[in-house]
Amino acid sequence: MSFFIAHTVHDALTALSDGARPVAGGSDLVVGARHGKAPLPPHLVAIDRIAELREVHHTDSGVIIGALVTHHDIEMHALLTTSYAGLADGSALVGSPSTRNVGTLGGNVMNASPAMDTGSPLLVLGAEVELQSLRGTRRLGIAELWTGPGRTCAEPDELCVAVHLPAPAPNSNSAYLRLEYRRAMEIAVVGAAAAVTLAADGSISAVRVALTAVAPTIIEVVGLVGGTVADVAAAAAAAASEQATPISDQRASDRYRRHTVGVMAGRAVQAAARRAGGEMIPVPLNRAVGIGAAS
Amino acid sequence: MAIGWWPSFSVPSGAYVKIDGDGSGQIITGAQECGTGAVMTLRQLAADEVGLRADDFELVYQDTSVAPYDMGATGSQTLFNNGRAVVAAAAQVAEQLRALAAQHLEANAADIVLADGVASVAGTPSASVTIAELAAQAAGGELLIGHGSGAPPAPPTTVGSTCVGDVGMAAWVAPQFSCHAVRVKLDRDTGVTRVLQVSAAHDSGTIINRVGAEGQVQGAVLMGIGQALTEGTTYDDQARQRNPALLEYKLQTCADAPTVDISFIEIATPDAGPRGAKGLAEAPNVATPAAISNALAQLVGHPVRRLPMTAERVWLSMQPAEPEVAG
Repeated sequence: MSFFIAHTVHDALTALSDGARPVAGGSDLVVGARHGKAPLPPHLVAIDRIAELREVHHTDSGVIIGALVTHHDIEMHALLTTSYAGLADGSALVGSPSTRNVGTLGGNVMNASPAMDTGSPLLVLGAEVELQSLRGTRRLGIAELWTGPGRTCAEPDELCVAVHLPAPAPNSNSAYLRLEYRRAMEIAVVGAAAAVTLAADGSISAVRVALTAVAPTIIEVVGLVGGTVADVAAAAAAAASEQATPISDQRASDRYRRHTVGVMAGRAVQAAARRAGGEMIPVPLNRAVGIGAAS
Repeated sequence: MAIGWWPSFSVPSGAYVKIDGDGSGQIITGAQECGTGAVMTLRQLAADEVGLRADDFELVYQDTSVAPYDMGATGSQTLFNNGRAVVAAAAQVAEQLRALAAQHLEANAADIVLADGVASVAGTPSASVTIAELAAQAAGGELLIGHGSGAPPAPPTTVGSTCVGDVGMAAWVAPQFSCHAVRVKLDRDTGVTRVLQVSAAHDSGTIINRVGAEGQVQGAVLMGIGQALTEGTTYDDQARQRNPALLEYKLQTCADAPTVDISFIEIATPDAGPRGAKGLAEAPNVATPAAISNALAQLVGHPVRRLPMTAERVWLSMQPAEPEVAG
């Protein structure tokens, strides 16, 4: 067993090339080891003190979110909670305040859980991940990254250093909604994110919808086209229920998941359209529209 | 809305109470504090009896073979039974203190008032001696030690043949009654139910410690909501529990807590515990799930027949001609 604290990205990449696994907040790795899900890797490199990975950069082409930016950082960030509201909806629902203070976006993305709350928002926002190793840097679309539950196509020596989000089109916004049985310490039963762009007449000209916890990875709903908000929401709901391939487990049956993911998808489209039209719906959307409460 | 009932189990229980030479007191009992409020309420009872503050007493935890018997913290019975024992034990110490004070103040023991850390003569508060002084004096002579149990009240007599028989009648010693009203919101598309407000009225007799009692109701209402909506053990085909940890056995969290309005109906009950008190902690579990179930039945048009009334079960119950989910 070895444990190395990296202070620079280069230190971390060197450790990874020597066979170490990275740990940042530890909210997946350490908790998983304690619960017997997977033993702690024998060689660890702590990356949580690499200051440069904690930053959010706003550029002409969009926003670059460092891998160590926490869910709490995201849910409090002025730009992310407004222009990339769907992502902030997801981060604001993760675990508890303490989980959100240590859990990082990079860790969430690389853990590749199909139930991750930031996954479907990142997908509809067109996110790319930046992977670095001593061999070089590459960027790939986030849907390409996830290959199965807990699996990515990243090589063992590659470190996720940032998530890139393109600048949103005018009159566009996003939303993420999840089905939850309680309001804290919850794991998504199902969830859905939508990103929409409105035409001048208020109808939807472009739409993307992605689904959480209904397939081995986060999946994008295919075949959606523009139209009135009500029509697109209904079509998204139907397509989500049809394209989902959920399992039955103790959280829910496949039938119930298939139905409710459609409900979430339709509501996410509606909320994203309201935001795209300039309405301020606070983060997280779950509290604002109140699943099971006032709506 | 729903009503509830909870028994007072009339059973034996015992305690020792002593006061040392420095004026600090100990309660030695088999009763344990595990969130029941015993650590506050038993000290309050002992302190009031001898004229000290609750803070002057500590509850001593030890092997149960060393302490007098208590049935344990089950069924909200600590105050009803062990409270009676602590009062009886403290009353013996109070008698010793009165006798000592009577010598000091040249008065009748029966006229000695023990309050606010001072023993004084009734009607002549200037004639007084501190209880700490009396305790110091006792430490050099007959020590201040009391033991108590008190006779458990007898159950109501069975008259003729009743459907519950003698065992059932025993549960009607100083019964507690409650009534809860809830406001719930149902998401009809998903079956997710949220409890927005709970009003809880309880007849638990005299409330000895109001802050503690309100805390017991708040906590028990949350547990009642969990019973109603999210808490349930599930098993696989080998009878192994599928949700043996709190990730999947879903307690309610602070974020789920509704507003809970609490009313205590303090009316006299025959055979109640110390100072007319009865139990409380578990009682609010009774009416809460029933009230939620009744509210949901109004919203969906029929009762949801299984607990917990999970979102999926509620949703399924609203689907036409489909069986309810198993497990």
